[in-house]
Amino acid sequence: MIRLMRRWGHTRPTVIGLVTVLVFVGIPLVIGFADDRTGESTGKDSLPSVSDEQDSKRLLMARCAVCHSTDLIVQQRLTLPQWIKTLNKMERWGAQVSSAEQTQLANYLAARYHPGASGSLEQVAQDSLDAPVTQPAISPGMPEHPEGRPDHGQSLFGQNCVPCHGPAAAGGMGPKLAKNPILTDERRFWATVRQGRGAMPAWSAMLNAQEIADIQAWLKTLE
Amino acid sequence: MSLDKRSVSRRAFLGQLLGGAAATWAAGYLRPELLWGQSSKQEPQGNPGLITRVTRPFDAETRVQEFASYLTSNDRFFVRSHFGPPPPEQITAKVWRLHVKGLVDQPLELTMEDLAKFDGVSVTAVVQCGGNGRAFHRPRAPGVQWERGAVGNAKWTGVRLRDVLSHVGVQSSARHLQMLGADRPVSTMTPLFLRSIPIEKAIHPDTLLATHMNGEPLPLLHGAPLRLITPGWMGDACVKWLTVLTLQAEEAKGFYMETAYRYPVPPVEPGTALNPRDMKPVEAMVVKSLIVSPVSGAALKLGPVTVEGVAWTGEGKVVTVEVSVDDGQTWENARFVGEDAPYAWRQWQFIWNPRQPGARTILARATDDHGQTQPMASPWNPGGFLWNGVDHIQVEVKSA
Repeated sequence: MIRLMRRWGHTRPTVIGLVTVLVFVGIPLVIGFADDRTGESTGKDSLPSVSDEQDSKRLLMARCAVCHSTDLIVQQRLTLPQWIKTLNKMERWGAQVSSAEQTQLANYLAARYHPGASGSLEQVAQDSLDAPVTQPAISPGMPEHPEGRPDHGQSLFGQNCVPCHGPAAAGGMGPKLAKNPILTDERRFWATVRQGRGAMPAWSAMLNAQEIADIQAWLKTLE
Repeated sequence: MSLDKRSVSRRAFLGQLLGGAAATWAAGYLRPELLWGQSSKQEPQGNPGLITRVTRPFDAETRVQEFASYLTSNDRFFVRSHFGPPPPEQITAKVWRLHVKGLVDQPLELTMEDLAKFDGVSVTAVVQCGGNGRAFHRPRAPGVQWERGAVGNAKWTGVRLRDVLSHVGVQSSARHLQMLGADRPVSTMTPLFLRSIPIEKAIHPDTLLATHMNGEPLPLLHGAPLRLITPGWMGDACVKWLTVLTLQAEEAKGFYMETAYRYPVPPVEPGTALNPRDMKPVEAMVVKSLIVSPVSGAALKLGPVTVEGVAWTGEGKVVTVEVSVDDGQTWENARFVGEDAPYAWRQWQFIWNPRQPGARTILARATDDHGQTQPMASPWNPGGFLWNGVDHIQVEVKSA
């Protein structure tokens, strides 16, 4: 990919196609944040609790990075009350972050990005890219690529993907997904949704394999 | 933070992909000439003249050495918005409309062609983010941590807002003009970037509906096809991707007018309870200067050095720039050079002849015709606005 970038002038059309498909398919799928208050099972249930830090980073990606990149977060130097206030505001502004998650994130952020924290702004830019590479959320016994259920996929898409990919997946900030060739490219589709690509965050912390399959199945029904 | 090979390569990949440019759209989605301007050869994936502060939505400030040029080029001009640009297909001449409504005699919907029928006019003006320099406030203020470069000087061309307002007929009860652009947040629960300016500023003959920047159609990142330019005022009034103008009796409602972009007058101590009545909107810029050359950290040879920079103020004129090379004990006047236009910045020079090697700090401060001089540190305010502390750089004078 890096080599591609360097040879941009020669390969622009190829790269445009590739990046558009890869980057944007991913982003949109993720953008809505799974809502764990709907009672639906989400990938969050299957998050390993091995590390609070990793868990908090995943939350940052899943709850915050759908709307803005994390460099905006890590350049702040705020007190705990300021972080709590910010998280409250973000919830009012549409971030689907529960009270428990807000507490977890406020503690995580205040411990690292407090008024006394060091770090130049240049370092901050690096930190922001040090996002965790999330693992595919597969519950025990669940097939890697389960059979998708289009009816479930439609509501999941509405909760998670519409802000970027638009109603009916017709495109918006992210690319159009209806009839997008990536839908039939299993490897790329799953890699993009799970791991994120470009501006699209990784969704594997938020959507489990069944839910991803459901969304894919619904997208395939679109004309 | 532990790094394995995978995270390094992923980081390198992301750095390449997102590191400098309008990453809202990711590399390749939009053509560089659309993002940065027709004459730009700037690749989308990295802009050496800009420092990215937020990758998405894209916010970036200009490297101060770029200000050696009187006009800041379009692809080096700082980029700031709350939600990133709207999809380009929403702002094509075919679909784009400017709606003028509210307390007017004749609400109108204007195309770009309609706008072009008004008299054309140009103003060279500084546009600066209200939060430029926020990173220097102590205690820290939340928000994008801009340092010195969220500012630029450009020639803006378009039509007078007052001509358009005269055309629709503004009713006497209209006291404010509310502006809305075509940019939208990801979540519909996020407030829109609704702003307003008092009618007096709206009908000022120098307030423009700008279609061009430095002689080119506005690039997407700078508000294509139309943005408001309020010379002398901070950038929060210079709404990009402008689509709706509403004449109304009151200020705009909502977060971006009622809460954000306000500061206490008089200033308060950090932690003090704020009285909403004392919170004034950020409007005019305050007097400010920057040292453009040498760059901070430069190693200089013993002997005469030309210290150069720029200085500007809000609705007034910069009358002096002083330089100190002894930590502010003594100050000497710099000399103005180049063009002198009402809302543009002034370039200045100062010949310094260091006689001793060693680490030195160079300070610059400007004074305007209202008698305002840059303080060492600006009054703290919770939003971190209006920083205009004395600019300073460190250099090392070498003996040989």
